[in-house]
Amino acid sequence: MTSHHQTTSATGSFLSSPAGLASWVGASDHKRIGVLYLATSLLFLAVAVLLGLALRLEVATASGGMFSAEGFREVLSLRTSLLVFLVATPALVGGLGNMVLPQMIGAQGVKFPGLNRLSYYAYLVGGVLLVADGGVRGGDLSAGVVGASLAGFSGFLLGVNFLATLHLMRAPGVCWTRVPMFAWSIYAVSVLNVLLAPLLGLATALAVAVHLWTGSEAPLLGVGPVLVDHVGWFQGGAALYVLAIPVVGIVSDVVAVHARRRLAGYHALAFCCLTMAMLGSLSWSQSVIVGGASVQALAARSFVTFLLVVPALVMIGALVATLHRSSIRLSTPMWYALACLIMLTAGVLVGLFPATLAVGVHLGATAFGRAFESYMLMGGVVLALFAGLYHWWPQLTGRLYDDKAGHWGCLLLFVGFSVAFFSDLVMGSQGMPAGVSGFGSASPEMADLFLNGALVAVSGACLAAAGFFLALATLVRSMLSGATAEANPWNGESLEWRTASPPPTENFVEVPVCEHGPYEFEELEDLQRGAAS
Amino acid sequence: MTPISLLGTNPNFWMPDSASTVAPVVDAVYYALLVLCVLVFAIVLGAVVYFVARYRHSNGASNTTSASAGSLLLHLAWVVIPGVTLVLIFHRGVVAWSDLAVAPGDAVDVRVTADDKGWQYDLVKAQIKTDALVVPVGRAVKLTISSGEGTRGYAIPAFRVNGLAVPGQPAILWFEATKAGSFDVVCSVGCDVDNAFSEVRAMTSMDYRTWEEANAPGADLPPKEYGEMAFADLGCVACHSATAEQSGKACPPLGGTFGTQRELADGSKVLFDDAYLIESLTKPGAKVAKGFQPVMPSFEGRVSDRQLEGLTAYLKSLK
Repeated sequence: MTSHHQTTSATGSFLSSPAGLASWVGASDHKRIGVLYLATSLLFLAVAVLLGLALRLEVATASGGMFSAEGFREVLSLRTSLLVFLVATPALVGGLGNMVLPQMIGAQGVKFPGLNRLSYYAYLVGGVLLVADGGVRGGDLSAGVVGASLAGFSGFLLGVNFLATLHLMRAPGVCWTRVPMFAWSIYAVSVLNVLLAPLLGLATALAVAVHLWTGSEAPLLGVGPVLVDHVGWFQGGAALYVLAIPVVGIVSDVVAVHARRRLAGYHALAFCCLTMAMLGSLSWSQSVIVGGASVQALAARSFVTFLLVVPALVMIGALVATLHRSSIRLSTPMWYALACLIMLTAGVLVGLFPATLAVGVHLGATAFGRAFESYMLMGGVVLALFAGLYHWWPQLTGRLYDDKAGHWGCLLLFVGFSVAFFSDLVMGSQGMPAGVSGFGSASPEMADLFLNGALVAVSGACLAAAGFFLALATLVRSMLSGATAEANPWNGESLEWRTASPPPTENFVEVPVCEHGPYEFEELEDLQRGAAS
Repeated sequence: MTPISLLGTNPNFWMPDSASTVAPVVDAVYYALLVLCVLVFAIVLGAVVYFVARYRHSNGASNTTSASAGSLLLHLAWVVIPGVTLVLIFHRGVVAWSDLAVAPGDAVDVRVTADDKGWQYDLVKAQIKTDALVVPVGRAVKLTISSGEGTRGYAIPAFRVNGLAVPGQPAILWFEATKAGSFDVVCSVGCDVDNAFSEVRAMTSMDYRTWEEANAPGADLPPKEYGEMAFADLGCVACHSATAEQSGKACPPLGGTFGTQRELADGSKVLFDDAYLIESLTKPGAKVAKGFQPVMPSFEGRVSDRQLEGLTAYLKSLK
């Protein structure tokens, strides 16, 4: 290690001081807000996982009976709303981003702590409204629509805050080419959030204002259609590709550290993050402004999705190339990162099918679309979330976790996901509708086929759910009774590893000075070797 | 019911039975994409597994070699080969889709509406209303699907057609069945479990004609009344008078003519019987009645047996 760790702090660890519930509720420390974000989004995620399992059980048990047809559709829409609005960005950007991004660039905090707190509460209130209303349905003004817009608004606030922090608060020596990839990916996502959220938020705010003044219940000022288009955009593919940005950011940092290898194509990766954000905003404005049905709109949407695949493939190639001639330590975060990389690859490729015009027509509203969504949201976001959590956990909490349990959690998730999503791919191709809870009225051949597929899928989903709760339980156990961790157990070279564990409220007692890039493991070891001999 | 029968119940693992003219076109794009994706995925998966096995820290592998820039050729290949393939596949998708998007002008026009029990079909030309779709093999069929309340999805996987009907914005699908048989119709969005699936029966043109007749309005009428309807439907009434008088019409009046000898343009005579009726309908120019122009169009293939039987009965009844 060339860098010395700062171990003492006047204020103590961010976890323990100041103490008391009130200090958490009114927290302005970004790490605490990150913890709040993470806990809340994990709660929503757990609900979504259980709902998803219940839906699959309903389909696979031919008798049915858990839900009415209407209830089935409502739960389906609630689950999608949860994952899209309350899990993906909040967990990766609001949660992990808040917990480690400032340390990664040697900052003692974020630029706007107040905005950060506001963003969490906008998210929390939005989430409660959304869940209470049973998700976003249709285009009328409802509590669910307001909730979704509030969640979008929280993303906007996060974006503003992170952009300002990244521009203004980097420690001395952290030039743009020394910014770790996770921070770069958050930069790209922030640009996208700052561009997109205001349209959605403004439309909702106007509709609410008009509703309060005039009492009119009618869908107003186009907020409903805008939101429906927004959701459509999310499910249509382009947005799911955009989710790959923070996922790749996290996987990059984990892979580099645990393979002790400089990222192959650091510049290309950063550039691809920004390119994908740009293409994502293009496809969003296209789907919201042009609408979904015209020939040109469909062809354009298809083309943008095809374009998005190119930077995604470049990113995947760069990560695979990083493993070449590396020195791989198969720790729990590395398991998650590699599993995530494989799932992400599958997801990126699977997304091409619905985006290809003639094929996409056949696959519309089938389980194939759900498979794509699952590969990106579950295989991508959830595995990346655990990769990041397990990677930074010892540093942030000062606790070790059970590595074996960590491996098992990852294995169950990966196998479960693979089985369930692959079954969805095949069944979707065969025409299985995603929103139908039973196949009783189908021809015997089709009913048999779909029922078999549903059985395979539900067995995969059970494995995955077990893996998910094992992964959570492993972390909870570590928090309660884990052994004390070193400050830098993985020998990471980026700045977040240079502070005490758990870090003090101000991150660094003294502002660190950055002398090298985040991934110069080989060079630093050469230096060390030279110094020793 | 074992997962193994995933393969057993269906001859194709990936795509359903192919039973329309567009199905092979869609499948070609699908399989091209599948091959590309499997290939790219196999490369990534293989590389990750190999590198992890080869460069495990515990295997004694060390990273003494400094970071290599990698081969430029490899970088280019990774981007250019999938890139070019993607452009080709995108193009094929657009071409195939432009076929799918516009129904041929002579397609059988079927209006589809959604109700509580499922779907109602209205065959516009044949004036048949039914709750089970029947289509002819070898002829294009155009479905105009409208939903009164809520969005409804309509898909026939074996035909590779699929559409969403939004209130006020009907979905238009077309297909040409290539196989007789019964295929599943999937109400992919907005239906109850009990009516989420229904069937479409594709029939050879012979069977289809029989079905059409059996279900056409007037199917239960006696031959004479049915013939009268055919006389109007086929447009005979526009030119031929149904009485003995010409009544200002351009063609020979038909009242009281059946079973009599008719004088032709060349002076010869012919008995107006079944054979002459059929000949006149199929080859109207062959034996033209004296004093009239050969203006009658051919009705070959347009008159069903039942209509012919009805026409005969009707013509016999005319005074």
